[in-house]
Amino acid sequence: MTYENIELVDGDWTLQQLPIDRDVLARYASASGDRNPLHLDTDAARAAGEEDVIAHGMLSMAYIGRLLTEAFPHADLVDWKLRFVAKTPLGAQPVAYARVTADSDDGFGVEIRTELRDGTTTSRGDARFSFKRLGDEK
Amino acid sequence: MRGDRVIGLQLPEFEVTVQRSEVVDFATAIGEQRRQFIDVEAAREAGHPDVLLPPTYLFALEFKRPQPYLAVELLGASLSSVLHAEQYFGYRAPCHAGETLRFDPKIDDYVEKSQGRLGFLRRRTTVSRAGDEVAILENLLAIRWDVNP
Repeated sequence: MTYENIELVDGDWTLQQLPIDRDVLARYASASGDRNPLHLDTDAARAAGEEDVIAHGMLSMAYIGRLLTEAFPHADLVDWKLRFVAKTPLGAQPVAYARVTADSDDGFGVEIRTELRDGTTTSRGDARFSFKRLGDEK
Repeated sequence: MRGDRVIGLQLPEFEVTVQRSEVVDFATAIGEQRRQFIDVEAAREAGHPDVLLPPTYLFALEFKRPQPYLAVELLGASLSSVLHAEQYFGYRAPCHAGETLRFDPKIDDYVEKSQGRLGFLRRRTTVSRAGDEVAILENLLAIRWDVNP
C-alpha cells in the first residue's frame, strides 16, 4: 500500500507514492467504478498504442486530494482543477506537489502537480481555499 | 458533424445514497489512512454524521449513472481510445456516507482538433442534496480517433 506521509520541502508540500502496480489499478478501478480496459487489460492498452496498462488520471488527482486536505483545511477547499498532461505508466512512482501561491486574508491559492521520478510532469493545475465558508469541518 | 450527436445532451439524472463501505473501499484504494474517511466512530468524534467523502469520490459516484459511456458511444468511439484530459471540482458543502445525492449531468461541448485526430468532450454535472447544490463537476475527455478501429 501507498501509506506515505506528507512533507514540506522547499515550499512544496509533497506526497510520495510507491510504484503503481496492477493491484493498485485493479483496486482503484473497482472502488471508483472506472473500469476502462486501458487501465486493466494489457492487450487493450497495446491496441491503443501503449506499452502496457496506464494509471487512471483520477488516481493522480486522488493523491493530490489527499495532499491538499492534509496540508490545508478540507472545509476551506472551494474548488480545484487538474489537467492530465502525460500518462502514468505501470511501475511509475507519482509524487504529488502543492505550493501556496497567492495568499490573502480571505484565503489562498495553491499550484498543484504530479511528477514521476524521472521528472515527467503528469498533471498540473490549481486549487483555491477560502476562509469565508460555512461549516465545521476539520 | 459528430458534435451534433452529443452537444447539449441531457444525460439521465440519478440519485445515489452513499454507502459507507464503498467510501471506505475508495479511501483505502487511494492510500488514505486518516480516520475521518475510514472509521465512522472517528468521523463522529470529529463532528461528522458519518465518514467524510474524499474530495475526488464524487467522481466515482458519478460513474454510477445509467449508461456511463453514453456520449462516447453516441460518438462511436471505443472506450480504450478515451483519455481523461481535465477534471474540475467545486464544493459548496461537505458530503458524507448515508446522504442521498442527486446528479444532473449534461454534455456541454464537443470539439475536434489536430485535423480531427483528437476529439474533446466536455460534461458538466451538478450535485445536489435535498434540493441544495453541494458540488459541481466538470469533465473533459480526449478521444483519440487515430486509435479507433
